[in-house]
Amino acid sequence: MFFLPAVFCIYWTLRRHLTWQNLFVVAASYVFYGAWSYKFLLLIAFTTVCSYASGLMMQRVRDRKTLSRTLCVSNIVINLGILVVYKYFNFFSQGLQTLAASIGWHIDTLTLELILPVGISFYTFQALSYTIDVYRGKLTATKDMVAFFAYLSFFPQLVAGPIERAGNLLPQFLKNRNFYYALAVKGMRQILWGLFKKVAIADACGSFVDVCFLNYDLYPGWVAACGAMVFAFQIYCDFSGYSDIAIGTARLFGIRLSKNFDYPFFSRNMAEMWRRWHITLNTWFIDYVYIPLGGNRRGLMITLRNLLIVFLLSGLWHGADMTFVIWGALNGLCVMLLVVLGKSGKYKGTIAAQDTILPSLRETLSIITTFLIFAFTFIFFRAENLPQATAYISHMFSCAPAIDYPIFSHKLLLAIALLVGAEWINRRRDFGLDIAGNGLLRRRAARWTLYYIIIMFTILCITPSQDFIYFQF
Amino acid sequence: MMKAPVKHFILRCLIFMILPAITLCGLEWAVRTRVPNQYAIKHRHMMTHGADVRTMILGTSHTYLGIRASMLGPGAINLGNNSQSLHYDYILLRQYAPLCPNLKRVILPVSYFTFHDADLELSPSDYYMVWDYKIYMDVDIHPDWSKYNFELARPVFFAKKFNQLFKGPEPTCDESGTCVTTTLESRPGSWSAGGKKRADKHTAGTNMFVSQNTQWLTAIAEYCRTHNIELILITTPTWHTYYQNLDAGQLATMRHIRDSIADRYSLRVFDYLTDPRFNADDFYDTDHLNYNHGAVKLTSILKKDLAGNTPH
Repeated sequence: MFFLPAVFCIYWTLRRHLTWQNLFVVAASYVFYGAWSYKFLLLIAFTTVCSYASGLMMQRVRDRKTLSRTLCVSNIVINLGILVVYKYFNFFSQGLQTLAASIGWHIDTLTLELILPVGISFYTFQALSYTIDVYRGKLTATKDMVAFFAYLSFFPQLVAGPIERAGNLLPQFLKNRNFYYALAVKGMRQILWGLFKKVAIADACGSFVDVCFLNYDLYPGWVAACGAMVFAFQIYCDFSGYSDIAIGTARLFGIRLSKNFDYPFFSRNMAEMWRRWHITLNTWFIDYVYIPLGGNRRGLMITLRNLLIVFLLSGLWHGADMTFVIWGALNGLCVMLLVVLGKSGKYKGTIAAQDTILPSLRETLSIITTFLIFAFTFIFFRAENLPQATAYISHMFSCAPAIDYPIFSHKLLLAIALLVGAEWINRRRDFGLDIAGNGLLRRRAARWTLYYIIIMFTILCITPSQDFIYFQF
Repeated sequence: MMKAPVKHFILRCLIFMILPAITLCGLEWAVRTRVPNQYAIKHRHMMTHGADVRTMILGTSHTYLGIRASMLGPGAINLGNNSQSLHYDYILLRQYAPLCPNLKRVILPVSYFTFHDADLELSPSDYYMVWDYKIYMDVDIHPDWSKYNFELARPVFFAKKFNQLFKGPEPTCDESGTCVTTTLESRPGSWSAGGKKRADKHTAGTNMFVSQNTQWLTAIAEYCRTHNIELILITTPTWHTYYQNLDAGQLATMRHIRDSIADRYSLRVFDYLTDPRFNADDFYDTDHLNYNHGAVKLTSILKKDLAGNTPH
């Protein structure tokens, strides 16, 4: 409540002194991160120093390929090593134990009682992208350590993305920022929209989804199916809501972050869905995994293999559990099927109802089908473990009698309808409340009235708060 | 110095905030004064009728729902509340006992989780009740400018109460402080199936708070002995799907501490945890009695047991 206004005022007071302003961004970001988990400040500082130093050293030995490669690999190993230890050690350790048990060996593997640092997957991937880009010569290593610290710890996107590339964000810290009134207003509008999505929809959906997944055996199959669909809205509003807040906050500081969601629920097939969902993570995997593996240039089988690898890694990135791996694999299989049918690029560069107000019947059916497939795969994402996921799915298709029904708020239904309506109307713009210059809303009084209505509606929809789901990744 | 557009932006934001700020202040006032709640009712009762109180019932929802204070005589008041910890029991006793010169008896529940629960401020699910004690019962362990003194600072419950402004007041407790909303008719259809989940929820897995809670119970017993007030410890009935899933270790710890303190201070203990006299129609859920059957039955049994001289 006080952090953002205070940081905003001090930040713009320092606008003539770039280094001081960047230093202040770093200090504010570390205070912000420290409030989540001060114990891990050293970890993020260590990651930053390693990436900064390896970048400079690679720059210096650019002509000596082997040394440059060694430096790049070393930094990747260090960063991924930290990630693996904190996030995946127990997963692989238990996997090894299970594998050994399946062939009759009994081995006692070590498990670590470690708390996962908030946002580690996000800032590690940013650090990796910088190192790889410098190694590839796509980026010149920066000597400005303060700007680099600001790039890797910029507080709006530190804990849950968007995963920024150094090529986009770092140059913005290397030159003076100007305050643009219109940009700041747009930022405030995007923050409001993000809050609406998080508070009025995601949290309210969360209460319903929690009950559905906890007591699904008490409810009829169609309620369990509704639970899965509502979870799709929850995860979208939770994550894209955070992205909106992050991008909007960055606008207040004159920083432009990358778009992370592009109205994914209006996608007409799963390939389009994945071009519009968590864009910064998917493009990261395309640039640093898919293309180095050969992309789609080495025949169909290699393309399919590469796609499967990317989706499996994407699943694993989300969490060290087989449920996430299966979730990634299912989505990968959907996209692979489209590649085989030659339809993966069908909707590239277009959006549903490109030149009309409403979609055609065919488009509508495609959108609904894509949403249902997507929601289905997310059962694995939400379930506590594989047995629960499979039991949930089998219950969805069963005719078990209802013992009870969960409470579904009519306000939540209204909020989802408002979201879908607003996003449909503004699907060619940056976000659902990107309304500047729109007809009646050209008048300030009309715009402010709309904001007040959204604020009041959001307050009325408040339910027990849940952390942003993506903080855990 | 900030540039003119920045100042202009800040000014616009402040102007924009005026209306929401006024609205929120008005809502804070309305929610505090127009939405009845059991804490305010009990506080008012103690301030105006403290001199008449002879029996004070403290504790969690187990007594708040389970004992009909009005059946124990006109001088009985139920000061139990959902998730009320021993710490808050002690605070309420210290706060209200001086207003009750005729106070003769305090009834306190000791449940499966009593010694293992964290203090309210640390509880992830029940922390919001700290506001009720601060705002409506004048409990002064937090300063007036702390977040606990503002309804707006607990937005979820603020929103709920705001909705009640339009729906009209909902009765929460009767004139003697017992919860009235948990009737047999309003019981969820799947109440019995939730026993294991509730037992799991109440199983702490750590003894971190045991010594602290033991100290609070000892302090309550000490206070009662010093002021010639009889302290009665009771363990309320639960349904078999609940008590069959309790952790034997935690249950044994609870009983051991309860009985040790009872022995030290010569207290009477009534343990109805698995009492077969309570049937399905007496429960609201697996560890709470309902208002119209179970609470009536428990209060009648307790009244008879209190009249006798031997512990249960």
